[in-house]
Amino acid sequence: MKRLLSTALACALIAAAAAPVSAAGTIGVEIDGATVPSSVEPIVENGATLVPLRLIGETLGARVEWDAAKKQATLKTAAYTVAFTIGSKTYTVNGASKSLSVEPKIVGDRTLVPLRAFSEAIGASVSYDAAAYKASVKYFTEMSGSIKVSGSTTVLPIMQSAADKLSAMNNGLSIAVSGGGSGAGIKDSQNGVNNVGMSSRELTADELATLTPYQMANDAIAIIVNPKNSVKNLSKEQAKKIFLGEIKNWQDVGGANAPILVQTRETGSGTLSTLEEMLLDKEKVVDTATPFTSSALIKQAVAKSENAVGFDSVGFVDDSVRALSLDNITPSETTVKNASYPLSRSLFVLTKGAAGGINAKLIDYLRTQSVQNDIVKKEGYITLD
Amino acid sequence: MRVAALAGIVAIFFIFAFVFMKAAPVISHSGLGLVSKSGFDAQVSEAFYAPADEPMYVFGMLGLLLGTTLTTLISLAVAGFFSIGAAISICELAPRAVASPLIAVVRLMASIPSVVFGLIGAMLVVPFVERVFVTVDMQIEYLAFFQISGRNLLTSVIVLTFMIAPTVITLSTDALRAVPDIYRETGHAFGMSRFRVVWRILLPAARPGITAGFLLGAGRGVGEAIAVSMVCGGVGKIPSLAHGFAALLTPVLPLSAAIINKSEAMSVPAVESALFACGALLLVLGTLFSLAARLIVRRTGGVGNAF
Amino acid sequence: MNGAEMTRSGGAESGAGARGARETANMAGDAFWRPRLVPAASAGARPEPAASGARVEFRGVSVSYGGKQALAEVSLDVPPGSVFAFIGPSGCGKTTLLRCVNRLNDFVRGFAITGGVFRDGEDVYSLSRSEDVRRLRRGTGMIFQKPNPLPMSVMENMTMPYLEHVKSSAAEARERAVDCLRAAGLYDEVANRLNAPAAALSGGQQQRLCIARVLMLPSRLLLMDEPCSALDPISTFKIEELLSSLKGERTVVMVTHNMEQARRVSDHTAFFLNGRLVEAGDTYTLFSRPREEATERYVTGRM
Repeated sequence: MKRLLSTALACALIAAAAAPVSAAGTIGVEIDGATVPSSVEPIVENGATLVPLRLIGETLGARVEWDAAKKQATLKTAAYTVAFTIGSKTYTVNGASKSLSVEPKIVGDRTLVPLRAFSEAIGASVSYDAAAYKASVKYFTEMSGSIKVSGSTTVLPIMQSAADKLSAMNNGLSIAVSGGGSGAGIKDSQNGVNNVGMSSRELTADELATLTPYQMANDAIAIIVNPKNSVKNLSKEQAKKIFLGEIKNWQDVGGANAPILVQTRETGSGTLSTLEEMLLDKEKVVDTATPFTSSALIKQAVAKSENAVGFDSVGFVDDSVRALSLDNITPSETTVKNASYPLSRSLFVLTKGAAGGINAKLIDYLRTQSVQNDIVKKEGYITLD
Repeated sequence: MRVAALAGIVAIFFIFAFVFMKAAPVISHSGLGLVSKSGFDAQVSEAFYAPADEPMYVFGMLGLLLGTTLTTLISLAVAGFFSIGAAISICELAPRAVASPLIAVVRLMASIPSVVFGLIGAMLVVPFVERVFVTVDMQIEYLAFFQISGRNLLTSVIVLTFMIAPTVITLSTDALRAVPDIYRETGHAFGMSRFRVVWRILLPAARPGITAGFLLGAGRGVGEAIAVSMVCGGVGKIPSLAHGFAALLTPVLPLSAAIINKSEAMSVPAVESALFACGALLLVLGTLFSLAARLIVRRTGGVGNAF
Repeated sequence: MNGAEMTRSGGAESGAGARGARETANMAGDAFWRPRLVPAASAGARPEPAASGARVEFRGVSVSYGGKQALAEVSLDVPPGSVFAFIGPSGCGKTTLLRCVNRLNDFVRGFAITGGVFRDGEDVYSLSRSEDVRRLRRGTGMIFQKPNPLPMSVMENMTMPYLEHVKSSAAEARERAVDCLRAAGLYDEVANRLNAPAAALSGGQQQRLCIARVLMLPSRLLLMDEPCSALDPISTFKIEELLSSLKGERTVVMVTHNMEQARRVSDHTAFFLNGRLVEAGDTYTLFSRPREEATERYVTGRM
């Protein structure tokens, strides 16, 4: 047994020393139990594993910034800012300098940084299994304690799904998610009633004095009509009047002489609250509107009724309906991310002071690619980047 | 046997107690207004957005109550009429080769889950009603009062009728089949025609079973939530005779459908209590229906329990 | 509605050959007047149409059910106004023959008949229109083995069949019902239970109710299928008493298992065995000096 092990170790050392770059295809990296696809091509140099920046951003939820002039890559998690400089063995963690055994480098179009140094900097545990030739990082699978989350009902579905996933991955973790609205979430955070607040609006200057917001998704509402409707654009004011029941006929906004049949969502829908907040100035949708219990149903209703108008998360809009442009701006991922589309906004989670511990990990988790793709996009929101 | 009956009674008692307990805040704050005032949709919205320290407990469910009563009674009348006819055809007129598959189909229909009826209603009946009964002029005319679409009282009644009918047909058929042949023979021995035998002897003899069918049908009508919620329009408007035919096209929101549709807002305790109040009204309504049916049987039949 | 719609065969005696030869006649006797009743205590004078019982003839009647022979070649005359008893062991075909008279066998699957059954000379199986069959049945009272009150009150049982056929006020029907109940000797027993469910009466009372009900419609022929088999001796006695009072203006054909009953109430008796008529004749002769050995064995209880 001992011999076998030493032989294996020797082989590994030889392999590592002999072919530092070409051996890249053979090392395995596992993050939170999930094997990183071999297409990522981590490389091993002097016993240190280097991985592409993109991988760290996607799997550990770090935001990546690149300063071309300084050749500096900055990785920001909720709690830590880690800066690497290409070709330098010095890196900083939250401003404090530390040294590396292997310097970060650029290979082809990929920027590679040391996995262990970064992981340890943000408090993840790293282990190396020489026999299996595998490095594994545990970050989101090492969480215990309880987190109270409250606030925006728009953010709530994302948070709830993410919390369910995290709880399934960690035995000692409990995350209690409740709604109450952005205002309540912000107030709870200020008063220390929750650990993490949820908000669908930007924080005010006053609030920013004590709270730290972390953007975790974008949201936008499309005003949808039947594809046969000749109306293509509305002013924000016209849209508002339509949903308040003040404009009742399509000919008043340049369409045919036909009734405007307003379709809405049932009370409790985050999309409805968002519409009322962003378009209707907190007034209520006209009481003759037909309410639906889901995004799919309201879309179907608009798809089937020529004179209907409804609204839905931009992410849900497909060819069965047409999204109107508002003030001549068509809702799209671009116009939402650059906030030029009027009914778009960013979604935040927030903590009192700076986030730390499991709260920070929760926030990082929301920004991982798996949450962004599997939850944010599927729930009809727009992803971060 | 006796234990089971006792357990049943205890269970029913606890259901009533639980529902009324949960509904208590809304019932006590709303008082009689709960059944005499309307505006439920707006009230749910208001309660949902009310600040946590000043909850809104006042609701008016007249619209929902009327929604439930109208949909149930109308569809029960329509379904009852056709069901008795169908039961008579199956039992007394159709040859056995036709009757057997027919009754099998009806029994199958009775066991179709309501969500399927809801889907069929939403996919077929809603567009049908919209195409046949709804005109743009009508929509414009009534837009100030309510939105006319394929989802309304009429559609709910049509869907409910198809849901109630199999139950009524099945029970009526069973009841007619259970009538001893000697009654048929007696009628024929008096020279009565087939139709008269059915009308004067078989139907009265089968009345308890048929009534049971109606009761179950009414129960399904009152309690049906998912299918109706998909076609009723979702707004608790009160149909007004002043609107003539358009009254039938009024969107309605029966109590049971309200529980489903508004459950999205149930995280707010006041809304939760309001939905339990809907449940309490349903229980009361169901009990009233049952008592009324019993009274009708006793008044008109008298011999219902003599055999 | 009156008797004018009755038709009857012209030549009853010509038997099966009479098929087709028909004429229409006014049968005043079947008109719906007040029933010919024998009042027990009531002194009220009622107009009574003088009528006599119907004549029933069987000519070579063979019956099978789904190919299985139940009756073979039965020929028999039932004289008007008589009480005629059919006796024989179970399954001998006597009930089948009885039910041919008002075509109640029509509802039995696989039923087939050859030969002729004549009522007042009219071949009942030649009637093709259903209303003619109904008219035939209406003019024939039928008492079943098991009392068959309908699931309604005593009074409704009396008036319902009557009002089905006679345009009359409910009040008149009720009045007539009381008369018929009196005639059946039941009125005093049920006077305060007229609106109670008929099913609440005793078996004997129910059977007498059924007889009273039959009296509501003017029939000249009464078919009784073991009317007393389910009853106790006292009820049986009451019904037999009633029967003898009905005699004369009504022909009574009765199936019975009770030899004593046949002997007590019938004028004529026919003995059936295995679907065949063994012997028929006046009751006294049949019981005291049967021609056939089988008959003798049966009437003396040795079979």
